[in-house]
Amino acid sequence: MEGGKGNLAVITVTLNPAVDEKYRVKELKHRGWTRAVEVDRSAGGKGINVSRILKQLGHDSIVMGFIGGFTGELVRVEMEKLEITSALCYIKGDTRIDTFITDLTGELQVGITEEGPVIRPQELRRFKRSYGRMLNRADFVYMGGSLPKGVPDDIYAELISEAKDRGKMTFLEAAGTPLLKGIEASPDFVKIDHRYVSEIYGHSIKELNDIIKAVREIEKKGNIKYIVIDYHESGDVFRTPEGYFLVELTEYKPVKILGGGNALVAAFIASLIEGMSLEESIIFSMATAYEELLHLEEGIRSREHVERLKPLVKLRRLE
Amino acid sequence: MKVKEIMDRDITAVTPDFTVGDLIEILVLHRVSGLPVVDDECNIIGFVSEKDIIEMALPGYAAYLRKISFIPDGLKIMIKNMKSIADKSVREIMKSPAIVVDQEATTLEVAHIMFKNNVRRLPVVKGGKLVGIVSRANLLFSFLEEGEDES
Repeated sequence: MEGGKGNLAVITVTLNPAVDEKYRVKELKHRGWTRAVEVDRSAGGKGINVSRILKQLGHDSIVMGFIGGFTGELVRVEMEKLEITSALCYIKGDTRIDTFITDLTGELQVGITEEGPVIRPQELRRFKRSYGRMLNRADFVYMGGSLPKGVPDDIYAELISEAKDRGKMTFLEAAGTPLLKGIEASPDFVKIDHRYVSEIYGHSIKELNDIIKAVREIEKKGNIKYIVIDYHESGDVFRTPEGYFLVELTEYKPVKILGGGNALVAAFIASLIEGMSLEESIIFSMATAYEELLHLEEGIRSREHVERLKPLVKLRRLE
Repeated sequence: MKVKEIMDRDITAVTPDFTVGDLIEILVLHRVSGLPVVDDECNIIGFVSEKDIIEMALPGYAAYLRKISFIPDGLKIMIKNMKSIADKSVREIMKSPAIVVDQEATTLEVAHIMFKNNVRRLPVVKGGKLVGIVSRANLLFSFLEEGEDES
């Protein structure tokens, strides 16, 4: 759905996008060469993934962030192919490559991630100005992922504050200091990996009560409407203005482990645009997240596939 | 076929207060010859290209071009002028108003506008706001594809 008057509804910010290179090999040897059975190169980074899934769910968005070099070009070309609008800031440095190697059994997985380019001050300035302009054209702003060098760790806080001042709804999915500082700017929605929760708040998540305790800590730092924390691999806790919910899958047979979180947030944004009830939104989001994990390709197969998975989602209100 | 089916959805643009120095850097990194100029609401108010910079650095350059003697002298003048131009604003050199096309226009209409105005890149708008850009190459490619569909 595209808003009227050239409105693009959703902005997604990926400050450190990547080219995800996925290799499948028969057998990974300690020494010597291995021939790849399958190679897949695609544009990656949290915001880009969110835009891809929004598109698949029928919603337009605009991708923002820094890109450079031939790897950056690959990201832009893929956005072009997916018919996703981009207002990317071109930089002198090169967009990073993240490499994933899996063997045919799917058991052996190796990942190498790069830090990414250095953003020069004038490039950061250019991005911020462009962001300020684009805010006029959107109602929702998603931002997530790691930061490239040269970008200050309070950038998410700054982008959230600016968006909120202009009445936009903000979504944050990050880790470490950028997340902590971002929370203090009170985004409307924040999704936190339980590993970071224990890192930040010093206690590990073993039972539901630990999550509730962590949420209470987060509530002290910022005024956030929705807080989502993963409870176990196929279950999340949603803290919402209408109370706490535990959402779980009654079946869980994923073929990959990454990407579910972005799909969940993308679907939640879509559900808000479509005006679903809160409970419908949570179920729809969880089904979308699961659908993303059921095949190797990026994104979801179709909205129909998501609909079919909804019966596997169990929602329980926590008292 | 409609423009929105063939356009590039990259909406990189500059505002009138950008310096010419910044503009040149963006043109280089972006590898394009020109960009739309927008206001804070993303309404298109002009278009700026390499040609506009050259014209300012070397007034009357088209006339010079016809003379062989242009090269050594012209270049010296240009290098000298470029330094002062770099701090000038895009507002001073952009072509305004911009020639634009609505995203619902047909490729034939775009071809007409492009050839009539002799432009290579044409901003595409929806409700006055920038949604993409269409180039001569996009257009030629769409004609090629349409030809293939028919045959």
